[in-house]
Amino acid sequence: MKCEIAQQNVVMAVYGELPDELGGSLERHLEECEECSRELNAMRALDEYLALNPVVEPSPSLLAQSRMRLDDALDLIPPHGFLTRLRSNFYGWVGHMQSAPALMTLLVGTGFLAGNFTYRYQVAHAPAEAPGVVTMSNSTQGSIANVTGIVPTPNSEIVQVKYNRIVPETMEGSLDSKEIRQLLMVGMTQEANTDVRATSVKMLSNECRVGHACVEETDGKGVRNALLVSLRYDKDDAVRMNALHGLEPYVGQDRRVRDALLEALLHDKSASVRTAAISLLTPVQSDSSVRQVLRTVSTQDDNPYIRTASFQALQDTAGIQ
Amino acid sequence: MRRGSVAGASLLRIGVESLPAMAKAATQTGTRGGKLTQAQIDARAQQRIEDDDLIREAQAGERTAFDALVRRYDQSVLRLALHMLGNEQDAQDVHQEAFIKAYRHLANFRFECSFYTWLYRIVTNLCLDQLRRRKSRREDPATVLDANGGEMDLMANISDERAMANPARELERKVMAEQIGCALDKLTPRERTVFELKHYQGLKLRTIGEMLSTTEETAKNTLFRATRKLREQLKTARSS
Repeated sequence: MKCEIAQQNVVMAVYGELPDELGGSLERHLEECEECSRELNAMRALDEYLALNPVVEPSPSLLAQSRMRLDDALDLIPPHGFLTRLRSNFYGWVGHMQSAPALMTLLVGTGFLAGNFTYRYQVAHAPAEAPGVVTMSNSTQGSIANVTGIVPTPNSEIVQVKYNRIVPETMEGSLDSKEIRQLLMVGMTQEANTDVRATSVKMLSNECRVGHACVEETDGKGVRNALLVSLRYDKDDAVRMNALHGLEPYVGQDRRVRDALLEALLHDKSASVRTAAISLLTPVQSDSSVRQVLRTVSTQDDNPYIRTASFQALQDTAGIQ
Repeated sequence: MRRGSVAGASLLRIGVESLPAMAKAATQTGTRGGKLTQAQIDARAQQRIEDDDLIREAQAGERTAFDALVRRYDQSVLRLALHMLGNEQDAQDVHQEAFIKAYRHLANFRFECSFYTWLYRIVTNLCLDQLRRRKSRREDPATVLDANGGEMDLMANISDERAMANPARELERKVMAEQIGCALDKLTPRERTVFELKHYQGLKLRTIGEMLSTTEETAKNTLFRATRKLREQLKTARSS
């Protein structure tokens, strides 16, 4: 051990601050080094000399006087108001943040992620609102549909022509929105475009099957009526089949639907549609009209399978008179 | 009071032990500021718990809780200020200012250290400021003033059974005490503060470092410098 370090350690040892592991080496050094031993003696002499100037306890009167002065000064300080506490809490919070930056970063990060997750969850599970319908139109790209009138100006080359322009538009929205349903019902009547008809019927049928606003309407303008029309008159077998399935929930409660199914069973040219009609009519065999049609089909239908299916359906209604 | 003085006295018994024995005594821990007994550790822990409860109540606006904290520590604060500044008026001012500061900033107390350490940090900084002001004014407070402005002999407060028995001895002690006071005044404010907190208050160097917003190593070096300076000063004083 060097003397310089040993002399520092002597001071530390006198004040009880020397680590245990250094005690042994200092002890050995002091046994060998006269100068450092003198250092130890000098420290002891200093301590003894300083003992002549000890710490004086404050007199009771000084202490009492100081306490009174302090109490008076504290009384003059207004009690902590709301703003003071708010400020204190803010500084306290900042202090906590400074003392534990990693923890605060973790908390803020966790809060952010949790908030983000909650928002996504809410968006994903929110009840489907009818989204705002977006309509895009461009009147400059429309083609002229027809001319409705021509008004010449007397004594002039100017003429006024009245015409209608077909403007292509796009609408985007929920199947629950009135406007979209209206357009789909128009789509069901598009003779020239089978895809549009099929898609429209399929979508509205699905809506009816899940019970979304497919109520009976007296004015004959509802979705159910549109499906009845498709079932009766559409040229495409698949479209009629989709319409038939869309009407399934209302067979038991709506006579018009039953009548349309009976017509389909008697006259539809597609064997698949007729077969599907038999299965849909089975739960309502108590209706005499249904039994009558089943009887007719079981004897007159061209398709032996359908005749058999009708006959079997009739067997199930043996108890019904 | 000075802690570890008994142990220190045994350590500093001169001329009766052989050199190896002296060396062994010097390197033993448990002297001034050494290891605490289990009972002391438990007592401190209990005191800290009680302090923390009082602080929380005081932070909630309970003035009586703060008053209880004042009663716990004001004597220690006054003793430290009085010894460092050697002036009752200045000590009272520091005492009052320290507790008012503590009261105003109690909301910022975050329980990372003991209230005692936090309060002592305030007190030592106020004393440091006071000492620096004196240095800048080239003050030499050889005399101590009491609250009434009159001169006061600090040594008169020291109970010494031998004082009246041996007036010559008493006079000699007074002279030496004055020399010590002058030697302490020669230290820089920071050296004086570190030496005061270590030698007279018996605080650990780590705590002193915390109080003075510095490291334990710096406090250690400052203490070493202070002891060297004091030895030089007192050697000169004694030889003269």
